[in-house]
Amino acid sequence: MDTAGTTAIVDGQVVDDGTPANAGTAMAVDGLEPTTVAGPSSGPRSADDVRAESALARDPGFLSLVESHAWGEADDADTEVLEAQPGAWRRALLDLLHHTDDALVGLRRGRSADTAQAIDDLEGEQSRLERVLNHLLGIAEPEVVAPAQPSGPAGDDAVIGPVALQLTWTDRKLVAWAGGPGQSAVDRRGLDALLGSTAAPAVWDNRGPVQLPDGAGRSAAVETQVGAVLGWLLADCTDTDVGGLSASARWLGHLAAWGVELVARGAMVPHVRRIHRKSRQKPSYVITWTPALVDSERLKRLADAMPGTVSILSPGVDAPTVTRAVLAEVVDVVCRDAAKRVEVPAAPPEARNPGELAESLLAHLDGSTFEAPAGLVGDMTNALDRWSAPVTGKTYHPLAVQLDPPDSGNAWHLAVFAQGPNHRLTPVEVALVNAGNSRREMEANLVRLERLFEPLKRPGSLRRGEVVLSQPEAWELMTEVGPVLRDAGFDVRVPALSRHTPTPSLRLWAEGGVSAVGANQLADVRWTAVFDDVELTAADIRRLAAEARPLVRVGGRWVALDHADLAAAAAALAERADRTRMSGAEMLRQALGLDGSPLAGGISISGSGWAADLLARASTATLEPAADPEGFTGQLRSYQGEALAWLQFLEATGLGGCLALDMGLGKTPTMLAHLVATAGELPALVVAPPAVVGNWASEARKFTPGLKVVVHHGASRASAESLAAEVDGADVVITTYSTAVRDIDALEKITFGNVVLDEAQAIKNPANDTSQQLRRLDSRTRLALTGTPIENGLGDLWAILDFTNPGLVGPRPAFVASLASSGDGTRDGAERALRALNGILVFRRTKSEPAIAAELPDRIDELDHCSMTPEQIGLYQAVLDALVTGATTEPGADQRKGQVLAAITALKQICNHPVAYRADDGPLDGRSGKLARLEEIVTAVYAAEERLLIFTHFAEWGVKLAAHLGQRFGIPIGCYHGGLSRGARDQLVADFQELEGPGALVLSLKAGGTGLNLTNANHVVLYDRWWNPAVEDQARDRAWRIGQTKTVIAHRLVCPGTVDERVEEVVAGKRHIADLVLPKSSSLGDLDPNQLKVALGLRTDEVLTEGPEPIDAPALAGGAFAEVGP
Amino acid sequence: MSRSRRGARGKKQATRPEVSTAFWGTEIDEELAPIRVSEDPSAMVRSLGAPPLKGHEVAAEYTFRLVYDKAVALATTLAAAAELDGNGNGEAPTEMPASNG
Repeated sequence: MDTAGTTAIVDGQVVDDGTPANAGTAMAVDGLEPTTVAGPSSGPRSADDVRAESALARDPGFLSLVESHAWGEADDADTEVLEAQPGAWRRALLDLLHHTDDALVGLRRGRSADTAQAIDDLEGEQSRLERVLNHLLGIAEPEVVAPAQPSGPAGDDAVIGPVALQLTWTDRKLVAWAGGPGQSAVDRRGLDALLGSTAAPAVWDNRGPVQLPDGAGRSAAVETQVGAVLGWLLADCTDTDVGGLSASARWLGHLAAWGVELVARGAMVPHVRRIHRKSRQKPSYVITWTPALVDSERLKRLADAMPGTVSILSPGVDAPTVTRAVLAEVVDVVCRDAAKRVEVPAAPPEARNPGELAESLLAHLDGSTFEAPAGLVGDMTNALDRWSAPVTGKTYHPLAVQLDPPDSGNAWHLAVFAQGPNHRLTPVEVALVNAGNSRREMEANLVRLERLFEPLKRPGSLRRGEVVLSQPEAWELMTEVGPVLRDAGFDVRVPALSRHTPTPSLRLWAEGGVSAVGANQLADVRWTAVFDDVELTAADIRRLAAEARPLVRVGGRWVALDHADLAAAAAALAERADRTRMSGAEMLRQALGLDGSPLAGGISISGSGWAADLLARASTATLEPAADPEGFTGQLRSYQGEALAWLQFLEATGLGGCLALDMGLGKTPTMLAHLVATAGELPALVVAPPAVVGNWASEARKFTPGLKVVVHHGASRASAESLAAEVDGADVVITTYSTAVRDIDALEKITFGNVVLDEAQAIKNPANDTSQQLRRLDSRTRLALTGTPIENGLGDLWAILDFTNPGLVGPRPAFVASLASSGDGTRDGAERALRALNGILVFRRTKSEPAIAAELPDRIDELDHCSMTPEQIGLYQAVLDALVTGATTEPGADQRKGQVLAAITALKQICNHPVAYRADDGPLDGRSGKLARLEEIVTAVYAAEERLLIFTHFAEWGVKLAAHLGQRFGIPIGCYHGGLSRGARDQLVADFQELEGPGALVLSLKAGGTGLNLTNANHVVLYDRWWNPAVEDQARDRAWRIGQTKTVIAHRLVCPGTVDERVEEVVAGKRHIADLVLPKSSSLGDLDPNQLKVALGLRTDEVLTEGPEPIDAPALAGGAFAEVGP
Repeated sequence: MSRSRRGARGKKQATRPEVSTAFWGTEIDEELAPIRVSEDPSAMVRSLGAPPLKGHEVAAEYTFRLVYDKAVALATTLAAAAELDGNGNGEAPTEMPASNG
């Protein structure tokens, strides 16, 4: 029966409005006038009334009134409104209190000063709300109740405590009532409010009130079975964050938890109990489940702590008895419920003999009653009690089972002890002699132990309770049997163990002695296997492998080795038994896993010698970022500092390496920092694609202004004969791949400190001419820079590393096979393979690493200088020549102006691609430096499985570009331009935004430069330039906008020495559009041929070319491609 | 929701009059250890030997095992619902007494 407040059925749900059943006039409290509240006593309420009350209690305006009133800020009118709705007022107060309690629970986990302040504030709010609620409910506040009123037992006169929910145990039931020291009796409304506030389930039945001691009155009470509230006792009565509960409720919660703990261990036994029914001829019986293995000390502690309120209805019953009774009830409730869920054979209709009685008993384990002749049951009850006696005694003293670590003969000694006073251990055989009255129980428990662990019964044991265990038996005791024995009530003490399976690895001991030897110096080596921190020789492994359960002690704990791991380690050692001398390079390859690793833990190197020292230094090289070197005017990010430290490690060890920072992470400034740090005796040679040569020069000017930088590129570069003189005195020489190959005969005569290959994927094909020729360069250290060290496969990485450290990483097939085994062919697999080398031959960092991403700005703008092909140069010059020629023949300034503007457009198209200017059916490949650079960017972006946007203001070219890139990379690319229908454009955007993995979208600057949200891309390429920087910014902002979660990298492609670059100057604000082609106070039509050449012509010293030959200036002048016009 | 089961040193108590009588009691000052669940629920009852149910010893052991398994499962559920469950980190007990005397 539900009595906790008014309950209504609303939409099939039970709705408890928390309203006490007997609302009335509350007593005056703390200056508040008595409040007459109209409660449910005025008559039964409909579900609609309850709904309306609930809705009002949640109304923000009403809640505001309730809060104002609680803070003493409500005027009379406000108070009248509240008093007119007492139910909603109470509900709103309860809701607010719940919210406050929830907030307090969360805040109390915090420890800061701010949190403490917030807790204070909330507690103040809680106190005000409680005060009003208590006032409404007629519950006196402890602060204002006159202390003169005695309410507790003698001696309690001066004590005043809060009214709290009290729980009393009587007649196998829980009785709930409200009260507190120094408080008057609490009526049913107050009790119901407390039950509600403590989240007690609504399962209480009415019962007579509880008489408080010393005439303090009678508090209303309700009662229920333990089983009905067991979950609440466990969850809420043990939770100190749940307020309103008395010490008696907490105590019963603890006892309930103990009961459940016993059941969870299986510590209970069935017991037959007779039910006394005078009216029946045959006696009835029930099975009850009795707690077993009860810790007598814990029982005593709990009995001593039992509040008197628990037994207020059972005067004369002592605390230990009540404690045992509650514990037994909890155990019985859980077990009966469990037994109900188990299917057992039906009981015989009548138990006429012991066999039928046994059947009856098994059929009634759920606590249901059964009848049987008293004589039969008596015998069985006695037998059951004797059977369970070893675990049901009032004082259970567990036997201790102790396993000692093995002696030198690998024998594990197990002994059983009896525990005496102060937990003193006595060998059980000795203890049995002196046990006296407890001998039977001790003997019975030893028998129990022997049943569960049979080696104790082995014939020939030293004495009873002592036995020598084999390694497998010891392991079984430590792992499986030990917990079972503990659950069965024994104190199990075994050596520390770990269930962790050690990872096997090989250790290569280098015994070269002298650490200065190099990669090719041979040294004596020996091999061992290592299981975590335990090192095993081949002989050790043979011995362990012969054991059924090989145990070793790792880090102070015993662990079991896997036989398969031992076999693998034995095989690996046998395979290497003859390898007693190795070079440093071979050892390094072993450590890096480049010669394969037969064991999961790989191969480590110890001892002394080049490789061991190298690895030891590598492990600490990048722990601390290097400081910005003197002469470097920038500020390196922390990962760049780590990269610099790694470069310094390479410099010190004479190794080469691959700096593999992701695109946009600043490889160039990092390398410049290294070059300025190592500048001095020998110059450095930087070999880069033409697109980034200009960038190297400008970055060097910016970050290392003190370095003398020579750009060896283009038609005006030093001849082979004068190269040495040009390089002499230079700190850094920058050149292109094609120039370096072309001038290799001269370059190989110069000794460089560092040779740096930028965009080193250019040498990924070791057989091509560039790779072969560059190997001729003489350098102390070879370094490679790339964001995509594994563009097409691990062979790319081998080519780079074999260039930086010739011969060190071994042959290509073995390298690829070894690293491929640590990857799975995916990008992640390749990254895992890279990590195997990271910090030694490779320094890899990616933008996806959180620590790196945290340091990056949200946008990086890069200017890429692109080369011109001979076809582009020829066309460019032809268009210019036609314009100049026309200048001498065409009359009219306006017409002339139109021609100049058309020529500028044509020149920009030619910079893009010859096909952008003049369509033909030829392939696009190899005809545009810009396109080549774009393809490099797309390759890097796709390798990172990211997406990019490519903007051009020539829509027709955009369509061709999209088709070309789609075909080139095998991933379809759309082109968003104004010629498409609105629906088609929207679909393109939607499709792109849903893309996962690599992808791209080409957009015309005009149609796609504004309004679109394309945050799925984090790379933007401005393929050609527009005069207004704002237009370009808007285009870039399609990706760099709210919703973007990655750093956006924007590339602007420019052909130096062309009109393209002059547009860049305009965009960069270095000049105005008008200044581009017009001398001051002139107009387009006024330009003479020479002025036109200056304004729009090729600056041959700036134009980048990729081809083997320099720009032929005379050819330009003469117009190699005379046929002009779209 | 994670629950707090510290002893009787709750913050609220500090702001209210102290109560320390045998009758009304003081909140129990004993931490509740996480309830560990047996991996072999019927181990203890099995250690007692065959139940003395003449002629039905095997059936009794079987039935007891079913009931013990179910009871432990039920206790586990109750403990978990009250956030009182916990079987440690899986490492076996490792304490070694300082002396065995």
